[in-house]
Amino acid sequence: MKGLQRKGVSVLTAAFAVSLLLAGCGSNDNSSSTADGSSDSGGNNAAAANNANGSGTDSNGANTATNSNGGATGAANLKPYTIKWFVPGAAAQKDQAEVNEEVSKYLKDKINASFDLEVIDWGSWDDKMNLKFASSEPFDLLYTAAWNGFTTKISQGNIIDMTGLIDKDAPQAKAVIEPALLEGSKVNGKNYGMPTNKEMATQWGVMLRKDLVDKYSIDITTIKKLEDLEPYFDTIKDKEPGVTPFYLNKDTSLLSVWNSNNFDHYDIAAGTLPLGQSDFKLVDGLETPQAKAGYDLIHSWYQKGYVNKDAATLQDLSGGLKAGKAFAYPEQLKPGKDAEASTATGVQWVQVELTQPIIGTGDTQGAMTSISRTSKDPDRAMMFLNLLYTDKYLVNLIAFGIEGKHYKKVDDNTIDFADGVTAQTSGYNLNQAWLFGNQFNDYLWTNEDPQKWQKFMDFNKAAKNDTLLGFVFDPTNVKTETATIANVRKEFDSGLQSGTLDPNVYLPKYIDKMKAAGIEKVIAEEQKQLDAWRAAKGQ
Amino acid sequence: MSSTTVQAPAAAAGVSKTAAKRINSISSGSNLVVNAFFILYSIACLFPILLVISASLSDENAITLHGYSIIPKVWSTAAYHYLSYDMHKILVGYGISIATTIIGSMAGMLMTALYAYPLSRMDFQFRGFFSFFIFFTMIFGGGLVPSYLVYSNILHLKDTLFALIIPGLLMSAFLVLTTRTFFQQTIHPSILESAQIDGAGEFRIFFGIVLPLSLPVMATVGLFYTLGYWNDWFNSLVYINNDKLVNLQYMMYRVMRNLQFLQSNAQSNSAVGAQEIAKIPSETVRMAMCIVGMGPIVLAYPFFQRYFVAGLTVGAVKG
Repeated sequence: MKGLQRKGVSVLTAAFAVSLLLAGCGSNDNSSSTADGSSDSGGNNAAAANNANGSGTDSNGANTATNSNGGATGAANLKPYTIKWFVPGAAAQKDQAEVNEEVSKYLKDKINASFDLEVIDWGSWDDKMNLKFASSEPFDLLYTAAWNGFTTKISQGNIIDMTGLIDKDAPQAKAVIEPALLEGSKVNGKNYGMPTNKEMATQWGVMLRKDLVDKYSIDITTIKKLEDLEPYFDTIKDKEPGVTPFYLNKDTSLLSVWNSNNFDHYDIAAGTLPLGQSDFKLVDGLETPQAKAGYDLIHSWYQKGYVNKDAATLQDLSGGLKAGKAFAYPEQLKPGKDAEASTATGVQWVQVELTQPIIGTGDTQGAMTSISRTSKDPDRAMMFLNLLYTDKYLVNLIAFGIEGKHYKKVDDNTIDFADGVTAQTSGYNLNQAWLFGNQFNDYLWTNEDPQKWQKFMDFNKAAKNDTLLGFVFDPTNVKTETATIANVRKEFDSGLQSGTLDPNVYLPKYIDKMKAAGIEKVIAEEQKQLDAWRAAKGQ
Repeated sequence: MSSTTVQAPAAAAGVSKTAAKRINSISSGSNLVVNAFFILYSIACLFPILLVISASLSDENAITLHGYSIIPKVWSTAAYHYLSYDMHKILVGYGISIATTIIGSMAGMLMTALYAYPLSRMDFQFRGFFSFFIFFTMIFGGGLVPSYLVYSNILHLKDTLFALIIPGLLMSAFLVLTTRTFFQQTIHPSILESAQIDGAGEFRIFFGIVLPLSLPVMATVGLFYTLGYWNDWFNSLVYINNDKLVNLQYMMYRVMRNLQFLQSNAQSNSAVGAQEIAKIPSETVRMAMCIVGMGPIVLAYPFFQRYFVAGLTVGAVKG
């Protein structure tokens, strides 16, 4: 009896010893979002794992077949290799495997490589990429951008310096890319990403609803500055009930236009350069009279009833635009932006440019392709990039899918959805051509301006450089302050920039809270980096 | 997304007793107040769900222009029509969700009971050690990156159904300790002793006596696991790259996350942001997804309800 009991207990013990193993893995808490937490721990890991092969491309130990002419001609003496590429997107595409297959076939003779592109949806992009780096998953290419932790990825050693590789493996691509783009995307004088060849300047303005512009015969060429809009807003307010003259949500404001015209460089969360300065002394932008004037203007518009009452809390602008609630809204412009917005909202718009196009670091680093430290053959990845920038067939295959299956050619350079396929049913409708290499080689859709790329090039030529082009502030040393400042901004930004709050009352409070959060320390840190950067450039 | 609070008291209070006046019953005045409170409380719980249902059946523009209302201003089934394009995907997601919920909850309940029962036995030698062992996992976790490394690089669970079942969900230390306490308090050692005297082995005692006597706690544990599995999107996010293995919750949560991500980056990156946001399903479609995702889990609670209401303590020892 007793023996039996003991046996039973020991079997049970064994049974839950197994369950114990499994329980040990389980933590009860997976409810919290990991966006902040994981990046830190991932970073440490990656930094720890970042040994000699991660940095420095000259001492590259990979099996490289050096081609004297640098082009991709020596496919025969290259080992087979798979190029793995991660990009963010709205959703994974049904026919991704077929497209990858097609690209692989094409690459076989060129650089003896197969191709594996994977689209990760925007919402999980950061988490997934952090985990991939943390676990040292081997892959070659990924999308990077200034707004998406580019400098962090560099400082953690997760993406490699490509400067030497570009010269060695991609001379043709280098010749194609706008020099200002390649120059402006450098960090500490080195290229960590190949910028997509596209529009490279920021220009701000407003969109106006075309039917109302026609109805009241508004001459948009006379609109040169924000104040010129006021009489038209009055007209709309009086004669078009139910239409908001100037439609805003919590993230948009006329300040984007205002600050671009009134400052050399404006950054609410760090240092600002006043207009026409020459001494490169950073100040707190909020304390300048120009900033106050901007807030005053939007507040007066709000009080006059030009702005929708829910502007400070409204999340999504597009719903109101689609429903025809808006006469005007602020927008970042480029040639043909009005056509794009009309397609997206189903309402016809015209664009009114109110600032000069300016090339800033955010534009040159707006969309890049970088090589991961976990790449087994960075040379091959670079050879692929060289093709991507120079080969029209390849870039269109990756951007738009297979001809006859996903799109059909209307003429040489114009495409439409293939017969029997719509945007909704297409198995490959990524619609993110700006991720891939050289947009000036992209086909144009039937609803796009046939002159689009020419206009882009002209736009790029007309743009002037931002005073701080190429400079990137690295906030690592003032992490705490940056986080606190971000919280203070959450409190005030949407209220002030939508005009809902009176700047006479709230702007001083905002300034005080920013001071308490350590804005001065951040500006001092940025000043230090800026001086070092200018010294390095020899100014 | 729908909240997952369990409202046991609200449901229990709704059960009206016989009208006959009894000793110790509360006065009709207080009864009225208590009932009124819980009626209001229930309405407050139902209201958001009704609002979501109504929104999913409204016309998109009507919502933009007039805001939400309990009765749609302009009826439209466009949102569900839009979802029907992805019917195949949604059904697969349902399949994955249901499979993981059933397998995971069953396995979780069994393992919880198997771990908790020895801990409740005073004559088990290593009780202290194993209690501390599971308690330790409650306090300290390795964090996401180490657990990711273990599951993906050592156990190779990435892109398998196991990745949706095992990480973080299979056993909850808290529920193990709860179950242990229940066993200790409800199951008198005398029962086990008499069963032993009658010749029952450990397994017979556990499956024949302990478990049947512990239905209430097993129901509670089962409900928690079921809700946990049904509402989990996190494992899909981290471990699944294959679109065919994505569960329903993540499918919907993904839309929300994409929207949040793009909006939070809209300022620094307005050109990309606006363009990408335009591709995200509209408000009404998101509400319709919410309704589709709520589906079966709404029915889970009434199923467990009977175990809670049925006598909680089952006595079997003569006093």
